[in-house]
Amino acid sequence: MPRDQGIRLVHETREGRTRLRVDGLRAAPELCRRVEALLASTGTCHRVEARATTGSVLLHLRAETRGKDVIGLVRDVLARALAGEEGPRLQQAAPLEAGQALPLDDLVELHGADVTRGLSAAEAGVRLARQGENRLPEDERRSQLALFARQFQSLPIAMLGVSSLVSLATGGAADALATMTVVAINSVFGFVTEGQAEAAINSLMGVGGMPVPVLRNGVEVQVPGRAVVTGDILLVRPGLQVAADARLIASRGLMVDESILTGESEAVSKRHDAPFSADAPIGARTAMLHAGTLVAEGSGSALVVATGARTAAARVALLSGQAERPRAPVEAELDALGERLAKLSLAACALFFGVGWARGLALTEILKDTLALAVAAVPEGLPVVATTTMSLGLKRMQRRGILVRELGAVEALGAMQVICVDKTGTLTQNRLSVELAAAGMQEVDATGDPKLLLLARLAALASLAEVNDGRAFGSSATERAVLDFALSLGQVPDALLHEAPVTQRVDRTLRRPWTGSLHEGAHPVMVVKGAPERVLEMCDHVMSENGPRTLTEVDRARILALNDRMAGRPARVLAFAEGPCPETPEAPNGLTWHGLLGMIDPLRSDAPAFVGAMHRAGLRTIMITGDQTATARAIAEQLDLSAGAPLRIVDAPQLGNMPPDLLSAVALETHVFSRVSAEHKQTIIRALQRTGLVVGMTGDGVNDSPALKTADVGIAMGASGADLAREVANVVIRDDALGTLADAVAQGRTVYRNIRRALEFLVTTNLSEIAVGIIEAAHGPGELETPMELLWINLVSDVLPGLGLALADPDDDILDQPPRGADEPIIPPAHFRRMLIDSSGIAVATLASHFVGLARFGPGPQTRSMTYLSLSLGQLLYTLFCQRSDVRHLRPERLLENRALDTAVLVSSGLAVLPFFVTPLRRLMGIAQIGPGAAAVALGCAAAPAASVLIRRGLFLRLDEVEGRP
Amino acid sequence: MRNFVMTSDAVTMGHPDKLCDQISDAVVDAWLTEGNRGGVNAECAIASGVAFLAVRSGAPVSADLAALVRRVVAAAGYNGGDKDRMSVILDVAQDAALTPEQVAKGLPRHMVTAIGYACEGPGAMPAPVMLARRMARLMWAARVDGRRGWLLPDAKAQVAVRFEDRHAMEVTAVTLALATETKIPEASLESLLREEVIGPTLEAQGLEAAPDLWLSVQDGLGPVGPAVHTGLTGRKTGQDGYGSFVRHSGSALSGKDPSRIDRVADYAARHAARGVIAAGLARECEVQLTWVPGDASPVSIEVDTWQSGRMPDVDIKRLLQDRVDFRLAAIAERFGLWSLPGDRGGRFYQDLASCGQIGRDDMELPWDAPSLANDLA
Repeated sequence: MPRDQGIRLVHETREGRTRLRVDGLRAAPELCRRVEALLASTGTCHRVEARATTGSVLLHLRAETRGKDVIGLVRDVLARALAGEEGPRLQQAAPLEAGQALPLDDLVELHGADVTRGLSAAEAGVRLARQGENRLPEDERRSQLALFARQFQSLPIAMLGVSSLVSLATGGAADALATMTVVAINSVFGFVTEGQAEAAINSLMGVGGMPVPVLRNGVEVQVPGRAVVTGDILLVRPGLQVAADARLIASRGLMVDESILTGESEAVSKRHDAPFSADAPIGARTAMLHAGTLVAEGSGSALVVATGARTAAARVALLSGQAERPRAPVEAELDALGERLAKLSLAACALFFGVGWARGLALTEILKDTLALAVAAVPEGLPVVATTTMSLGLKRMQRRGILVRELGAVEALGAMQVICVDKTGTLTQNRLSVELAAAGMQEVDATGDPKLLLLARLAALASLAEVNDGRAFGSSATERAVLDFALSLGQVPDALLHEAPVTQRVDRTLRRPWTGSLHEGAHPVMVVKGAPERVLEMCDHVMSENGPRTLTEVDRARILALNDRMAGRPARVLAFAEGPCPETPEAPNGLTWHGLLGMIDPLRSDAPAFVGAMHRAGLRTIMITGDQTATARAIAEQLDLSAGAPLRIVDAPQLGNMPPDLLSAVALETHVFSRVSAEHKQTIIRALQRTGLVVGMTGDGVNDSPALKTADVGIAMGASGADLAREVANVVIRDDALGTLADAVAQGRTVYRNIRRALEFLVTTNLSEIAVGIIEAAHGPGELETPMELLWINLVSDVLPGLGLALADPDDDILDQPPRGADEPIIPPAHFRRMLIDSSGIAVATLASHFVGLARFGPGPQTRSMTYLSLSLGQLLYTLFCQRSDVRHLRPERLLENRALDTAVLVSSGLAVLPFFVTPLRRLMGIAQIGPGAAAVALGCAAAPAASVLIRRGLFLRLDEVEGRP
Repeated sequence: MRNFVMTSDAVTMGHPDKLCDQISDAVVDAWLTEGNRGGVNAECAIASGVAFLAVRSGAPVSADLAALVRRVVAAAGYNGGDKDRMSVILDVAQDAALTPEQVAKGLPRHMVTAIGYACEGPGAMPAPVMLARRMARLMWAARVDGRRGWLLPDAKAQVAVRFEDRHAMEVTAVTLALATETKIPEASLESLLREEVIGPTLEAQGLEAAPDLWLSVQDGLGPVGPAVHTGLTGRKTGQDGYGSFVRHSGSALSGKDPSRIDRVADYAARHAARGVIAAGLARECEVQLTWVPGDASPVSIEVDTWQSGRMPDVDIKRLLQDRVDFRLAAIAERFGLWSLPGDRGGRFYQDLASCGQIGRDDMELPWDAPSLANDLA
């Protein structure tokens, strides 16, 4: 493998996908960003990604660059980045396809579109057949053969192959055959389990055709994203993921998140009337929408001009790597670890070979011993165990209604340190209803005070919801609540709107927290409803029982205090005002204040318990809400978000103005972000991530999508969630229950813990084999175990317990422990120390058995039998104890609670002693039958490691009690 | 009697320290206007356009604290119409020591030695601080009422007064620090300030400028205020009181409810001194009151009249001791400290915090009134 100054080529495919390990990049996200940008600017690759978590660079090289000096390229770029050079903003300027820059009318003609009616269904069908589905071109799915072939590609298997060749060359045809058989069995086993796991993972990850609203036959229909064709008229609304490249026909306050293409995190404004040139970079095409981008706010319609492989996204090949499932970080870590172990054993073998040569031993003897050592060192069962654990974890989560859509999210769920919770829909029921009302300046009974009639009329006029079957329908929960209130007071919106038809509406925007409608009729008026403080500023009169009178300063203070009191109930408070139609509808003034409506969104019954559970699990909870501070504070207190500590609330409607470092520091100590606009949810997530935290975010609304995408774990709450939120989230809680979310955290932690346990078990037992091997070989010639013995242990008897460990249920107290550190290695140093001690224990017991055998039988099959028995059964018994790394769980009654593991140990024990009953197998492994005395010694030694673990831990357990620790 | 020059300074209500005082006291106003009889304590800090407000109270505060912060900052002349530019960080908690039951005991919870002062003359106050405050107020008003829109709301005035025989004689030096939106030529700036600020101030105080008045104008360009300048509650105690003319305690006054002896004591001491002057017992008078926690009445009362008394200081002290009720709850009751915000349309303490808590010639403060004159005469 080529290596160079801490830059190492890890993996390279023929298609140009290359992975490099770059030492300097680990835990240096800022440097990664620069390296990424600089590499992208070199134009040598389609796609580049530098990861600070693993210290690696992933490149998808362009054809012309393949085979060139990639390491040199990365080294140059790294040097420039270290010198502080900033790359240009990550933004590929894929030129537009010919014709897309035409004036809109020509474009409509070119695509045979109808702006008002859309395509006919028949025409759309024809086009779909001609153009193909609107999908990104996928790489060929890995064939079954390739998957099978992959089983032979790993370094350990290669070593076994070499070993059998050597056996063949040294005359051990039976050995060679046996080795190859074992390799084949292992590969089939790996192929089946891994294939199933892959299939399960792929089916879980599969992205369905998300429905897209388009105009067909003059009516709006929802078609799957893959059925969109050129000439379709897309109806653009907030939360929509744009399905294809499209030219805007109309737009109103449209803001689009194009970060997937440009890396630019702020949403950009889009306008149908903006001019643009064909060679403008993606970020500057104001009149174009691009596939894969997200509509953050506003609305409009757009003409589809390119689909599938012809979209900008496809051409910059940003998404082309998605066909093969991305490796989960822990899998990558395991690959690296397995490789390191294999190399370590190679080095040991070389040393061994040298020593044997110097001693003048026969070549065949040396080779045989060296190979035995190599086999002992490589944890052959590792890849199977990891993949299977992951897939079993995913399946188990799916059964519980937790859909994990990205493999890395499983681990991230377990490592999550902060969970940002969107208030509406996650903590509350999102069932707003008007419970509080104030007519003028006086709070009255909201259910029918006659003073409310004027207010109810305004509510009927101002609501954007519609009446359906006597109930409010459509629009948002707030609008429906307002309309329901008007209906409950006997208002007839249709009649009112007939008398005073709406001539113009002023929409709510990020910077305009109110809506207005202008009405004509006998008395043309403007009705305004929105954030009380802002509406109050537009008023100079207040409606009293004797008609409007001038607002005084004292009145204003009283109104604001009234608003605060209502908001603190906690309620979402809307103010209503009415006045003459102004010249500029966007800036009304001289209005008359009519009063307030307070809408209450009840907390979900399981919300306080959920917050408590998260706190016990060591997670910080942060509530993000658009509500005003008084409302947010009251809810936070009900939920005890601050866990008894002073409650810290950040109220920053323009969060972007805060210096990023300050925001990061502040975010760490905050429990509530109030009056947050959708665009800033993402800002908050980024601020938290900058401090190195693993951040989760729950949401259900369309406006949550960018934040869900940014978070390490984006969690969509299922039942009430918008499609888009589910589409971009990497975890979906199907049943929408907060308890399930807590369960997801537990499951995520369990999967990681199980992989870690299985890994630690396999590595520990292999270390013991290495120790035994080295000491035997050093002690005298002919003492070392045969490669077949070790192979039998590693491939036959160790794999099942490994899987058994992987099947363990979550500990009862898994949610009472803090999350693991974000940068904690899969085997932390403390665990490694324990593994060394445990492996020494196994090795010492095995060697004891070996030396007893040596004294009695001398070097030969009988001694090997004793050693083999002690080693294989010792490892299996040890399994029961290694599953409890926490001493509190090391109680006799809990040792056997993992039924899968118990079964695995039983079966494996049977497999381990099988050679003693099957003569050919025994002969193959080079062992012999032994008498009851020798067997007793061997079995005793097999029990010793487990006993030593128990004694050691028991000792600690008692010590801990004495010291008063848990 | 020694002759001396005394210099005091004051900032405008747009100064971030004073913003913090006003925010803290606006919380007290909101709290008391709601009719609460429990305690509240509010501290504010401002930096980089971010306000941090910590509130401890005996019951949940219903006011929207973030909106309150923004209202105060906007009213001081900042951010135009865009109140939301500021970020607000709140830290709120309830404190068992501040519940209405605890507060109703009427016992001090803090240690304090308060100094009150009064003298003959305008406002019964030392001239330097009155002059400095008025200049600051005029500079701020010149912008806010639109006459001098270029003058930014964060400014500071320092005034030196020559005293003879402890009588203010003339103003010897004035320093004004201010910022403008655009560069104003020095000469025209100076003449504008003489006309708009210095002239009216001296006239109101009835003092002349020295013939060789030393005037210094420290001008700079904006921006000013909370976006660029830090502020903290309780950092302008000199301006709140007597401009360092007499000794003063270290306690801040703003952000504390009327159960806090370290706020109320200052008012009581001023009221006592004011009464001594009004009763004609002395030409000037300093009253020192000390409380210990848990004892409603002061443990010591001392009086100093700089030998201007009609009777020995110790007799004046005895009069105060015998005739004035200095128990914490009685003081709060006498001044109406719990009800004043409600009576005055929801704001009282915030106005105190804007420019000075003692000797305000633009507010009718109970402790500035000579209401003890008859009791002491």
